[in-house]
Amino acid sequence: MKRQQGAELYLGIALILLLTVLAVFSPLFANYDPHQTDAKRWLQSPGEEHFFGTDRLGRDIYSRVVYGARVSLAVGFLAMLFSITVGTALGALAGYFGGFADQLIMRLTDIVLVYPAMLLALTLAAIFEPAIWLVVLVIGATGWPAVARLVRGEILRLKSLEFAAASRMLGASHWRVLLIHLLPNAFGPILVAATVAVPAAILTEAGLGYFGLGIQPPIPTWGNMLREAQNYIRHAWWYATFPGAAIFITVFAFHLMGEGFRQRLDPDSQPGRGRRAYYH
Amino acid sequence: MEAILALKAIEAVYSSGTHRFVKAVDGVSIAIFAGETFGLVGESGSGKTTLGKIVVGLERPCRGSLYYKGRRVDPAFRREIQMVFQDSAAALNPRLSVADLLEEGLVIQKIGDRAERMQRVAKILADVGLDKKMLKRFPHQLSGGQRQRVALARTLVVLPSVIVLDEPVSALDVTASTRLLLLLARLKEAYGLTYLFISHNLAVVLQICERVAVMYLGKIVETGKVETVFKLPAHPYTRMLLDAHPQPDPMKKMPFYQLAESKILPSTAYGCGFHPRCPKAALRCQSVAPALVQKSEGHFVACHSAVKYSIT
Repeated sequence: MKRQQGAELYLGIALILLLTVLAVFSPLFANYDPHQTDAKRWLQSPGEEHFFGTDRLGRDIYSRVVYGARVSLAVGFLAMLFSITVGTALGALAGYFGGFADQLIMRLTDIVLVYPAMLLALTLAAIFEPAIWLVVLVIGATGWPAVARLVRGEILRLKSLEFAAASRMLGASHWRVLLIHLLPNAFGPILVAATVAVPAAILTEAGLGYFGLGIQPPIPTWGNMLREAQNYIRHAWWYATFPGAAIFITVFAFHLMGEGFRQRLDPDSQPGRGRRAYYH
Repeated sequence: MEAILALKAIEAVYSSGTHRFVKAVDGVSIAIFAGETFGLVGESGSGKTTLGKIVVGLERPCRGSLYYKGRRVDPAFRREIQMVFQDSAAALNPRLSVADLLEEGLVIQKIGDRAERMQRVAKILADVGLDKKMLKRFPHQLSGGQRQRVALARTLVVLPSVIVLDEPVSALDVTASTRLLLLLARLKEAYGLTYLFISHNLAVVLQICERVAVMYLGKIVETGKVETVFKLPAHPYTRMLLDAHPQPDPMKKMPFYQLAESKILPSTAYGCGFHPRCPKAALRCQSVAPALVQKSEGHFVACHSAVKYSIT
């Protein structure tokens, strides 16, 4: 049981490292220029020359998938950073100070949460010109409420423990109690939330790309590759399969890592005992 | 003699659901003198911990006032009055080492530089009987007794004059508890401390306290010198507590009063809070709350029957 849990974490980390290397050193792995069109060789099936085949403009799909990892991972990480930073800050303030601040922040999160994330992202992306930083902002803006709720709950729980009171008695300011005593103890759940926020952002980015509102062609992203592939899905199976598989593997890897962290950090989920979900 | 700490008619009310209120502390007045160990006993829910928290400023009283060295203090935190909590595992931040935990008070009060602070921490660590090796440890690597010593040292660092000890030994085994009590007595001399000792363990209170107050449902029902209160209990509740205390002697007589579950009946809003459980309850006890009346020198009791007996 223990071995198995460790294996999940390490497999996830290994896959993510591999993807990161792929994204950082894309030019080394891609054997073609992802933008190079070739009118004579369009929609070629996978072979020795083009591992994953070619698309409707004769571009090498393998190279485009490799370059697409850059966009996906960058968007995933940046959007995660955004939603974790905003969510942690607002959740901690709401949980610690309570009262009016809590009401205000939690109603704000409710407003964002009741709106389907994809729809909100679509609306925002439709209003503004889609650029990479905007996609990051849009995805981050839909991701922070879940983090805020989680952090608020953790801070509420930790606040009731006596070490916070003991520190206040020694004369510690509210900020000191919050930053030194409470937030570090909420590190575990925040880390788990962060690992789950990355694949969620990658999926949202792919979804936006699919609807044509994400990062715009010719920049290759897994999402806009899927969009292009949809008209050819019956004739060229490889066109949609490889970008789709890339999304699947990436999301899978982050979930493995997230689950691994959760099991490590959550004393409630020792083998044979009930599990508690930190993040939905 | 002027009291170092005086509580005047302290009241703390909590709402439980809409339109339902619980008076955790109901008009408590206590005077504690410098250098003494004042015991506060009572069963769970009697309001003794709430009272302790009011003393250090962790809870705000709804009514009443608090005087420290004769001066009225506002209900905020005071460096001079510190508290050691019952659950030492929850009272220490699990992510900080013992060194960091002990240094914190000095950092907050902006005392000395790092070297000076660590010197002071080392001295206090030795004073509470812990080895220097402990500085690098984390709370989960300590035993219950060691954790309680760290919690105590943490408050001593800021040189308080009054320490509220909330059930400091209830989580410890008998030997660890005895050692901690001896340490408390030593520290009291060395640092010139005054203790407010909250406990449900009457044997411990008898051992280390000079005066004691018995609380029942937020009110003080009896107070006086420990010897007087425990040898000649005037309130039926005090008697019940003493009888309920387990004696390691099978030949000891059976409890005088059977212990009943404490019930807050609506009628106790007017009469004596104890009358539903009291074997001596009379009609008057249901309608008139007894006041705290002096029975003998320094011995006060709030019971109609006790006072009546003393008069006749």
